[in-house]
Amino acid sequence: MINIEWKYWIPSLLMIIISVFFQGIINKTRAITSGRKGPGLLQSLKDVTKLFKKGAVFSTSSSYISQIAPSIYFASVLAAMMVIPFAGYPALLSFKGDFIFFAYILGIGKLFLILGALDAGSPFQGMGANREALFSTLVEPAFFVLWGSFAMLTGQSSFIDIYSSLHYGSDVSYLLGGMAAYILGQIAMVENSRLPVDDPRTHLELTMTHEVMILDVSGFDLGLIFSATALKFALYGTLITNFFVNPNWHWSLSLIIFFVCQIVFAVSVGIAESFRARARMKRNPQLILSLTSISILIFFGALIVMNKFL
Amino acid sequence: MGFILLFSILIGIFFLPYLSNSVKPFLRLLINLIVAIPSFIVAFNAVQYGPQNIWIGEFSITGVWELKIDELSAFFIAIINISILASSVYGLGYLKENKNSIALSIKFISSILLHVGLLGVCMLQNFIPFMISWEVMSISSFMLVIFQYHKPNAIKAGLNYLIQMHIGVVLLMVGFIIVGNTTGQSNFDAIGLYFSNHNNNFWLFLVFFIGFSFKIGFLTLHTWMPEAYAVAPSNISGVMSGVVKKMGIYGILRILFYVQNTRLEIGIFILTISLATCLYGIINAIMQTDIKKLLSYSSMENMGIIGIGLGMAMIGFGVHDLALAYLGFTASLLQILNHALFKTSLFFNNGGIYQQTRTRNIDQLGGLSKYMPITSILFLLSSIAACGLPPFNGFVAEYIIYSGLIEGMNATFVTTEVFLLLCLIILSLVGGLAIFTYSKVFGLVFLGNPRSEIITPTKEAPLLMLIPQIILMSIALSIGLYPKFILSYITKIVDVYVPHYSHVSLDSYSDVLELGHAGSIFILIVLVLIIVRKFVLNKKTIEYQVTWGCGYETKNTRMQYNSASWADYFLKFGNFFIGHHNSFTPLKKEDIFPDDKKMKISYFDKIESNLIQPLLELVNYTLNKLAVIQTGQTQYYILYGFVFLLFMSILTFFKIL
Repeated sequence: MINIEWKYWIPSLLMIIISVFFQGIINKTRAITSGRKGPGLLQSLKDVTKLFKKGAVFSTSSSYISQIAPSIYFASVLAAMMVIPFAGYPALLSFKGDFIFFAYILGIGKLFLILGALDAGSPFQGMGANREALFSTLVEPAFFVLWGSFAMLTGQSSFIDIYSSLHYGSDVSYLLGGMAAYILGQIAMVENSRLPVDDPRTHLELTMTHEVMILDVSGFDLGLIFSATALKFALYGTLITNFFVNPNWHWSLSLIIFFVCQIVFAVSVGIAESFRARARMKRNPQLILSLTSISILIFFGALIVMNKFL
Repeated sequence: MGFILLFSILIGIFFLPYLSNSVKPFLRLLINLIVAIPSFIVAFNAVQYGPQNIWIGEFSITGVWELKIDELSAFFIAIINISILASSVYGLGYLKENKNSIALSIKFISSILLHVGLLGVCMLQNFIPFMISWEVMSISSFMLVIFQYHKPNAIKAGLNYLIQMHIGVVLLMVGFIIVGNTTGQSNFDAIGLYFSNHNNNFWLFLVFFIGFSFKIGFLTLHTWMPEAYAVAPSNISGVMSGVVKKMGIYGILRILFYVQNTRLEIGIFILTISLATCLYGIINAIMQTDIKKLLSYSSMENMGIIGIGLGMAMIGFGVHDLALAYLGFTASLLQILNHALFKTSLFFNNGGIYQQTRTRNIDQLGGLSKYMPITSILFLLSSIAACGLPPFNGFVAEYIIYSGLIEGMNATFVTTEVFLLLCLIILSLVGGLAIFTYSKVFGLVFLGNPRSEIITPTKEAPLLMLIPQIILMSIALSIGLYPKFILSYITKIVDVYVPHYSHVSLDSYSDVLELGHAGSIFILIVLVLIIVRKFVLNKKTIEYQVTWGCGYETKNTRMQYNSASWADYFLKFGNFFIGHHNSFTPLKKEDIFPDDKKMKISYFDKIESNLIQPLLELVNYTLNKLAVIQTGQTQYYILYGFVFLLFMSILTFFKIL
């Protein structure tokens, strides 16, 4: 059952706080690298609040799906957030195999986002929905192999247990943690439709993926989708951060490392996006599937640590 | 009691043809109820108090008939009854306009026989009665498949089904004869005796496995399925996919529980086949333009998932990791139930669409959610369940499979670990592709704008067709939200087969209860968000405008994404599994004012055309060569008789025979 003591809320609260700044940090980094001043860190929050205050425009072809899809998308991210712990602080919901729940609950959000895009009956939105559906499908094995390997290594199957047993293990587990951080970072990029699979700044419908899906979403619903995207980054950022935070450390140290890690993650996303062009559509599937092969490396790494291999 | 039951069935079958068309479905429902209620009660007792012997009799030709319900049979009987009853209720609303009285009588009698045959398969313990019941089931389902006999492809698909089933029957008979001859007994326990007396159990298992696989449609034996499901009436497709197919799984489970050694090899074999089936099924499902074919390929994927559970379980036995065996069997059984619920519902749903629009072609449909809102919601819910997403039942089974995989990877040695890793990769990929498939079918059929004119008079499907779906989906949702209840029954079945001394329980490796909570919390968040949204938007101005078309004003509905365009991007790198023909006249340089261009894409089953078809041609070729002896003249046949007699007498003379 859900734990409602104060300390269980801490991971979720931290994620919400960092998600407010995440987009701002990325944009600021991009602005600085291209020699501009850039908007303030809180610009994305201002955008979202403005959207929440606006009215809404719906397509005449849309049905009830358009009315519920953005809410379900946002709810799925919230539900996924509830299973992520931070340092010594357990998540609101923690059970064996919660990482499976994490992936699948994000899946249902994705399903509704796709359906929401198809609802308007637009040729462009179908295109975007198709691409996004495929990308998020292909990235799935990487996530499962990654967490499957850690579950195998630690003998645990919930986030909190995996993280805490990982920190009692050998130093090799930190190496694996580094690789995992890379993969999770890339998965976050794919899931949020950022470079290299998709460029959120593109303004041509034919080359958009995520942005074109939400062309006919406006007002409150658009605000929800933006918030969900920001939260998703924070979710993956926290998953990464946990690899480098020992649950036994003092809370202040953990907190500092949390913010440092998240900011480093956001800045590196910003830098990567500044100096990188989007991959060709044709290459994206290969690019995404290569993440799975890196996860398989982690699997074999884990086998070596367990002295099972060779 | 049993004889009263049999008598009432016979009376019903005898009187059914003389009733008027509007009464027939009610009589069928009544007979189904008469059969279902006692069998369900006995099945319930079997789960509660252990195996129930119903009746033992002996006949001169067929030998002993032993009717017995044990825990495994009970589970399948429950699924059969739920599905058949749902289908009968659904049938009250379906096919109303069909006036052909004889065809209807045959259909209803066949469906009653199908029900009896299915129950018989689950209960009968002896080989010959089992095969008789199996035949009753196959032939009655064949009669149901060819219900629309006036369509040429219905007969073709039906015959294809019938022939493939009987190749399976031959293999099963071979298996039974081997066991019967070696042990001198003719019930299922003899298989256990045979297995314990032989060191290598693989070959006999393989015979049974292939025999039963024809029914299940594992890879390369699935080719009858898409066609047969497409031509059968929707309530029949639902039952066939929901339960008739599962009888193959039932058979394999029966055999599996007797296997004594070479379990690891068998496990790896089943796992490999299942993974291939899973992947092949879902990839081909993406390509289909016919909703029913899409659903039948998706059934193939689900059979693969069930098989993965079985494979895991056998590997678990093989490496003495009983937890893996336990989780594998539990997931498999749960998925059998899940699939019966959501796939039956999906086929029923499709029947409603077909009744209103007269088409199953995705590219002609669109925007149906505005005309048939309840149908669309039910389809959406069933698709979520079919994708294995929370908070529905499909997720619980997949979750248990994942838990088992993780447990197995932790506890076993490298070879099996690599297999389980492969399983993890494919299962997660298949989960994603299922979302891809169902978002296609739901998005294109129910959302956007109609792609052709034919569906304008569409209205909601009749209530009697919706109620069974609502019931099936509520069971599905309740399993998703409170899996503990159904799992307590399933684990009772598994406990029989996984030794007690292992002290394995579901709770030590998974938290299904928490899964239900998490699902409920998700639903709660959704509801709260929707209410908040409603509250916020109430005060705001809401406008309705045409969809953004990149500035292009004269859009038409043909510009929407369709089935081919949805599959196109995937086809680029998935074409190893997919057979397709493209015919397209490209734009030439001199076409300054291009005229109408046509593009045609068609998909075919690569295994059917590259493997089955050449094989059939080979068989045809050989048989044609052999036909030389079939001259049609009597004197030749008398000569053959003489030659045969001569041959036999020579053999006896030299004491060879």
